[in-house]
Amino acid sequence: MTASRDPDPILAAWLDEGPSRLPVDTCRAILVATRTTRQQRRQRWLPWRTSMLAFTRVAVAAIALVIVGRLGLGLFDSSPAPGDFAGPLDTSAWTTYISDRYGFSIGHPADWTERPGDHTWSLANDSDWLTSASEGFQAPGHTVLATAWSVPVKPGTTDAAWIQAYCEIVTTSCAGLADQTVPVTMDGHPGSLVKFVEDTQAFILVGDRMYVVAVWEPDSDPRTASYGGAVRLLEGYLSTMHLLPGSDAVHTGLLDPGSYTDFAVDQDIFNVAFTVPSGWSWDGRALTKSAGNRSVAASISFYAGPVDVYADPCRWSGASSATRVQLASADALMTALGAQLARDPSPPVDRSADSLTVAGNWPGKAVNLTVPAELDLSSCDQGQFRSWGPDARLRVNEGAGEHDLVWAVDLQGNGVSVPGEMLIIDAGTFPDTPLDVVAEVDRILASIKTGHWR
Amino acid sequence: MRTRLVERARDGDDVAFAELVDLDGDLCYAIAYRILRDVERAQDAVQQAFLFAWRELPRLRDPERFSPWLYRLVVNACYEEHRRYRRWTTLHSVLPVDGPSGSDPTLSVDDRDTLDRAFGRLTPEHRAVFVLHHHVGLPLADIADVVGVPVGTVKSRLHHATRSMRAAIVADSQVASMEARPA
Repeated sequence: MTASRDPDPILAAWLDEGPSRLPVDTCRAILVATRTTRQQRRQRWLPWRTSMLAFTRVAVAAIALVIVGRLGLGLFDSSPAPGDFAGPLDTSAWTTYISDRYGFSIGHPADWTERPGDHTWSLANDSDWLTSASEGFQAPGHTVLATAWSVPVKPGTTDAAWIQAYCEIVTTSCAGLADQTVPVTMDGHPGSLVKFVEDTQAFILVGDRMYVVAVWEPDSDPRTASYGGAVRLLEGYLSTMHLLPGSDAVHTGLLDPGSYTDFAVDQDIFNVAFTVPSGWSWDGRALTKSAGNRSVAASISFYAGPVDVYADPCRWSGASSATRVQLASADALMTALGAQLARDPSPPVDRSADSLTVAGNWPGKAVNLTVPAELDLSSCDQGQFRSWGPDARLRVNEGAGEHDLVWAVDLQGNGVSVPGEMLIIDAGTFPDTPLDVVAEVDRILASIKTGHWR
Repeated sequence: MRTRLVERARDGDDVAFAELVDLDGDLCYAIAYRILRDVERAQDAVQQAFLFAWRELPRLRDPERFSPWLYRLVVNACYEEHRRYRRWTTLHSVLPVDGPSGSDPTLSVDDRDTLDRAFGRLTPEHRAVFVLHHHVGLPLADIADVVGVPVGTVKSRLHHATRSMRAAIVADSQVASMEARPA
């Protein structure tokens, strides 16, 4: 290659390469699966919208189809109907699934397939059954889908108000929800099970967090008949569900003082444990504490590498301004940070991290950096002083004069992590941060343990 | 015609669905391959997406929205494939079996290697946006609809992905240029 070449035609040519026709075998497999998989039916044809003659034709045809279908099976189908079951579903042989992301454990039938969520659920973006944010469980043959997740709600929100708002996003018939609702409990917490027209869902508000479990079938759907119907199946799920003590999902917001052991970093790549004194909050990425006039007087943020280290944290938006610290050691990150403009870096020092059981189990490095005290952050690109990116793992400093202790821990081997993956911890304080808060930062850092123990 | 096929398939007509597979399968596969860069996983993702589409089609209220809905299923299936294998595999550089096979003179072996590695460092979310924009040619609003995030997030992901890919080529060019410089 030569330096004068335009990258865009090269990118286009590279993208154009590759197969463009679906292989015949795959096509055939799809069509075979189609013929052996039943569709998820919904009530789209309402009889009062159809002429009586047409409705009669449809009804007669439907009855004929049912009779022919059952005769085709030999005898009338003996598959159970929801009313045929007495008592709760037997869940003693179910498999337990732990959701660190949403802060609960839940059982599912052993032959169902787990489909873990891959991002955090939000009302705005994930309010449909297709979302991959929720923890999912699929019955054999993908005949039934159950999902579970949790989401923080605004303090003071009632469960009824939240369910109504949710309903109006996900479905078209939200009138008279109270008539379709029955009480349930989950791990001792009261909640509501709503029999929607198209599916069955349970909502349990615990503190300022709503837990939702859904079976994406109406109660009468034949696919759930072997479980006694969607309601009974959903109640089975709820009976196996327990909130995880100390999980990030449960404790988003102000934390009680104490030790926490189940915090997951960036989609569960690593786990961290720490002990916090009073007054600290957790937002899913960082521990923060306010003091004086500062809403964030101190912060301790956790990131999973790799990251893009910006050569100039103030002028970071240029295409070549970032160095990707990819599959490299903590040394490489220290070198890249030490080379950033205007950070006044200290020499990197060795700083190992503890696992849950072994002190100093993980090798690491630490460096001290600053944001220039006289810098007007509004003059930086987009008003942000960025230590590193990318957007999903962004470290934006809160203000001029901020002091960062960046601690990179190499977590390698053990068959779980990819060699070279890093846990990056950034502890930020300001010149006017009270000394007792600075001391608390040091104590929290000293309490940190990390590893993969999910 | 497509809308009518979707309506028929929605009502349980598997022949109509087969025609939709015939119409849309190639593009879905092209998308899946370019996100995953692996032939077999792309086939699995497309198969899962179509099976899910068949099963859930009766819930699709607007047949006109079949294509973006299907693309969303494909992208989600790719995310799942990527998640399933991400801890155990590195980037595969499987050469296409029926494509141009690298005959494009614009691309050298080094180019491919550089771009494969750069692409492998992107998250599947960034890859999806990059492929849907640069290969499929979808507008940003349509991509937002497909991947289920706000347009601003699409812009951000596209900017990051494109910048990373361009930067990889530029960096490689500079290295090659320096190596070629006489001492």
